[in-house]
Amino acid sequence: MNELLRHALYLPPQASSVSRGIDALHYTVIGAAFAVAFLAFLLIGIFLVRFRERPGQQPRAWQIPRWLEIGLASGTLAVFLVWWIVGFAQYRELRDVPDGAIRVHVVAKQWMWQFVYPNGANSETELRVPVGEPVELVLTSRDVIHSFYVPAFRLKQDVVPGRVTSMWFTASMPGEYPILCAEYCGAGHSRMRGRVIAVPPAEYARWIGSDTAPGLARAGEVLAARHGCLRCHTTDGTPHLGPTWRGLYRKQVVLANGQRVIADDAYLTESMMDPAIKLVAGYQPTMPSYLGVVSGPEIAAILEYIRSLGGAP
Amino acid sequence: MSTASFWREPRGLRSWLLTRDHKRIGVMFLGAVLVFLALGGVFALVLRLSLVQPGNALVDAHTYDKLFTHHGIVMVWLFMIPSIPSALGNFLVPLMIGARDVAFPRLNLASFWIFVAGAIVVLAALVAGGVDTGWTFYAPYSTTTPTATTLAAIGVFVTGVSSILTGLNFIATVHTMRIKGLGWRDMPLFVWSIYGTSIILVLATPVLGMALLLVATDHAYGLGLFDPATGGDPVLFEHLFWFYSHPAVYIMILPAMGVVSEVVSTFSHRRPAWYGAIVLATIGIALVGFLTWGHHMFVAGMSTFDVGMFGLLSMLVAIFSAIKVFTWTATMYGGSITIGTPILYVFTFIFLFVFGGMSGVAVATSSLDVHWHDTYFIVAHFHFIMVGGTLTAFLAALHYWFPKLTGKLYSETWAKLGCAAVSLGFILTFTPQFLLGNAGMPRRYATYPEPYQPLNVVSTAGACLLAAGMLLTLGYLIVAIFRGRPAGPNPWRSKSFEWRSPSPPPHQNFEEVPAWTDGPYDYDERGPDERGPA
Repeated sequence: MNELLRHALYLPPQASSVSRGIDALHYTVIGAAFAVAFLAFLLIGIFLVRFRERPGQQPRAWQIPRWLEIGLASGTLAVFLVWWIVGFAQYRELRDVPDGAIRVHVVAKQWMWQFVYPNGANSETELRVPVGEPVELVLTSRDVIHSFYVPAFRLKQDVVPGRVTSMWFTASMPGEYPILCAEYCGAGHSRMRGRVIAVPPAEYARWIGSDTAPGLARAGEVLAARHGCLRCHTTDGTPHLGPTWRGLYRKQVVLANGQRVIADDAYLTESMMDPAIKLVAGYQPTMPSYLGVVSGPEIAAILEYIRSLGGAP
Repeated sequence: MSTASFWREPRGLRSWLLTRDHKRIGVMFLGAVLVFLALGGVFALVLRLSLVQPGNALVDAHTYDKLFTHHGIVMVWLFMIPSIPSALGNFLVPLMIGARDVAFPRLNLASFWIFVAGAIVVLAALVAGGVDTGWTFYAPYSTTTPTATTLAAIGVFVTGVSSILTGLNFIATVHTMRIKGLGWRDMPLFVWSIYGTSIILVLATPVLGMALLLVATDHAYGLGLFDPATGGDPVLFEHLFWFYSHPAVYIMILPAMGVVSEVVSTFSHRRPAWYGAIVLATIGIALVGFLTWGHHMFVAGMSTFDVGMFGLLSMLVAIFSAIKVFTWTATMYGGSITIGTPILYVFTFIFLFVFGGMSGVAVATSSLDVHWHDTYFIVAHFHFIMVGGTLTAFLAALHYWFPKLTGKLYSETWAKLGCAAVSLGFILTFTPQFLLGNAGMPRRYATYPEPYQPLNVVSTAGACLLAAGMLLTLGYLIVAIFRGRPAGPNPWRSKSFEWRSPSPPPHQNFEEVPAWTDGPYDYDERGPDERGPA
């Protein structure tokens, strides 16, 4: 039944852990649309024949009884609300990244995709992932808004310059699945394509090499030293000209304006690009902007280094 | 008192260009929006032809990007927004409430010429290199593209001023110009729908104007409000833009719903079923429609909580639309139904509205939207509900009030043929696009992967049929203006007020100050207990 409907509706393969559930809701909603349309036109057809104009016929002063109209309206609302509840529950599942997901940084630019793996390895266009293991993507753009879209996963996330967005998926079967850009980004928009290559975990491990986590963080440490970050930020917990990076990742920090924010990837990236906007309380706005100075993969590496220095879970 | 029709008296070009007569201003608006409908249609046809095979069959990617932008800008701001309210609303609202004119006739004329000025600026932008931002003007693409963003944004801004003035005028007219004895509860439903629309026009359009001016300033002077390179935020623009553009959908569809309510009632020869519910739904849509804009941004990186709330509010607004469909269907029950081209267009409207509406509920369901967002499914959805709804209702209205406007009848045979071509063409164009969206084809694609081709071919074939239907319609309506049989004052045997003056109406609308003792829907109905000849 699932396969029949999937083909009838031209849906791509169901290649992620969430795609079957989303398709099931899809079938229900579309089925209901056809049922409602059928019913409406059946009634209209009957009325057209039954109440067509005939000599001597007078229209009737009939009003819909109030109970019927209210019943119909609230019945419809109830159905809509059920879809909302199920759909929103699924949506929350899409947003909550499982623990232990492999983090891959994604940088979009006109008109290509670039991927940076935990060990510092880079790839363009091709995103290689292990089947059955959750993968978190941390996305940002270097120019305009793009949108990372894998139809076979039923997943999509806008990639916004100056912001970091994230998404996660678990590929459920091996194969190659197209990556498309879903947000119009200029003349090369329709050719900004790539592919996810989902392979068995053992093959992924062979490909990525055994030395995983320290790689990217180590690269970040070198970069942080080269760009001069470590002249003001310590890594041993003592405050200096800037807040220490030890234990900073995902910790709540108090800003100079009294607001509280979580020092997540988005905040840390923003602070590199525009340090003065969300200044931590007790520090001077002396840090220069690193916009255009550090590249997307370099930011990914530095974030990974900060993460390796510990922080809130 | 002169009884010459408003077409003939007073004479002279000057008396037209500087007229303060709402009927002539309506006619001039009608002429203008028809020109823009044709222009936007030509853009669409080139787009469809270019998509017949992958690999930029007809135009290169850059030209394609400009064409879909031009198609969107022209169709949204120069055709759909003014189509029913400014053209037909202007002509009909005063007639329907027994007034001589709108509340501010001079302002009405200003509104027309401001619209023309804005349209000329928009056209200048299209000629001066074109615009490739999409009609949504998303930053920072729009603020950094070398094309004519600034000029286009200013043009749309100016037409927005016209929208606001027209909206104000209608609100004032409905409040102050109703004939004595015509209470709010007796007003024709078309007038209610124009009233609801006007509220949105006045409240939402300033936000669009502001957002567009900011984009223009960013583009021209590098102000950088939406550019992250200078500390700006592109997502802020999305919020501002959709705060207008979602209610704008209701600017287009509410007047369409008003037309449908009138046509269904007239052709069923009975009062609308549950008038109160239709009015409530009209105002409900106008107000709740302001609170749903976030559903355009489910994958923009908005908080999960916001996604939930915007999803919930979107479900509420859908209910009002569902109520409308129930009442239109119920109005036919117990009626004495005649068939004419206007009600055939209404059937197409209901078809598109049911599927467009249900697909709207589908994309408001947050997890489903993640797959469909920015794909052809969305293109198909909004073309069904917003474009198809507005277009079929506009054509229904044009055929329904054509005798009022011209005093002539068109050929029913040709009109039914035209209606069939337009309806089938429209459905054939956009149904495959739902499936393309399911298959994952993103919108605004100048070329596409091979597997998407068959559905694209079907869609293009539909577009050609639609274009043929529109040309046919234009043809027989022009013939009818010159050779049509006289219509008489009330060819549809309607009870509504606009049919109680001669067709076409004289300059002063009514030959004598009308004294109406019965309402616009007081058909000769037998009571629930009487036994009539079955």
